[in-house]
Amino acid sequence: MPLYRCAVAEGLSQEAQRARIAKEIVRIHCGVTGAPPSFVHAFFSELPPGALPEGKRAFVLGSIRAGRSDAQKRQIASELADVVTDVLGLAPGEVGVATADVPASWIMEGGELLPEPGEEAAWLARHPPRTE
Amino acid sequence: MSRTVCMIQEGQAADAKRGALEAGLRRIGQECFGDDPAVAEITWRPVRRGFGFTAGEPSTSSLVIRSVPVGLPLAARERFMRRVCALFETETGCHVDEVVVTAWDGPLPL
Repeated sequence: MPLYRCAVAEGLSQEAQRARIAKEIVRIHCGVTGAPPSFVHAFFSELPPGALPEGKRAFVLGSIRAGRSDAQKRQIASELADVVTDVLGLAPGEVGVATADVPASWIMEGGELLPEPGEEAAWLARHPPRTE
Repeated sequence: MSRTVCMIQEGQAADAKRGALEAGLRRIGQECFGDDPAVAEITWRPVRRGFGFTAGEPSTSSLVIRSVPVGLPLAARERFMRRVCALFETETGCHVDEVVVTAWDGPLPL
């Protein structure tokens, strides 16, 4: 966690664009929250016409640990909408972004309950980046 | 009826081991929550190559999310999630860092 699920219209994105968006999601999420990059997942899917919200060609739902402020969530949504719009070459307003809070205690990653936001140091010390 | 959604990376070990993982998830659900294994709903959502990223790089992670009783005590929640992690490690040979489990209170939002 967080998990950003990015639904895009069929045929709209190329792998390089998705990879760039995924890196931008890490930059934005970690920049706003201070969370470590290793926690950030971005999974994309393609949806057929009519399956996205009306007027949207891409929609991102970020499931993030509860405890972030409303200002942080607004900043993530705003910056992410701009990035996805730019990378996919869409018109303003064609990208929707929302976030949903998930309590850290509901999530296990690395075999342990996730730490509360801001308390990641001890968890990370036990889970250094893998080199293999 | 319980509901579990597994997001796995297409073509990776978890994708190849769906049968064993599903049997294990049904067994864990029965032992942890008293599920009827015959009716527990398990949905697989393979993430296509080039569509899954972790830390900005191609992902090798499996994400499992399951509905659990609202207000489930932390110890029971943690016991369930630990067993799912162990199941994936055993069946797929993955590192524990490649498994994310969510025990979601009430109906799943996806």
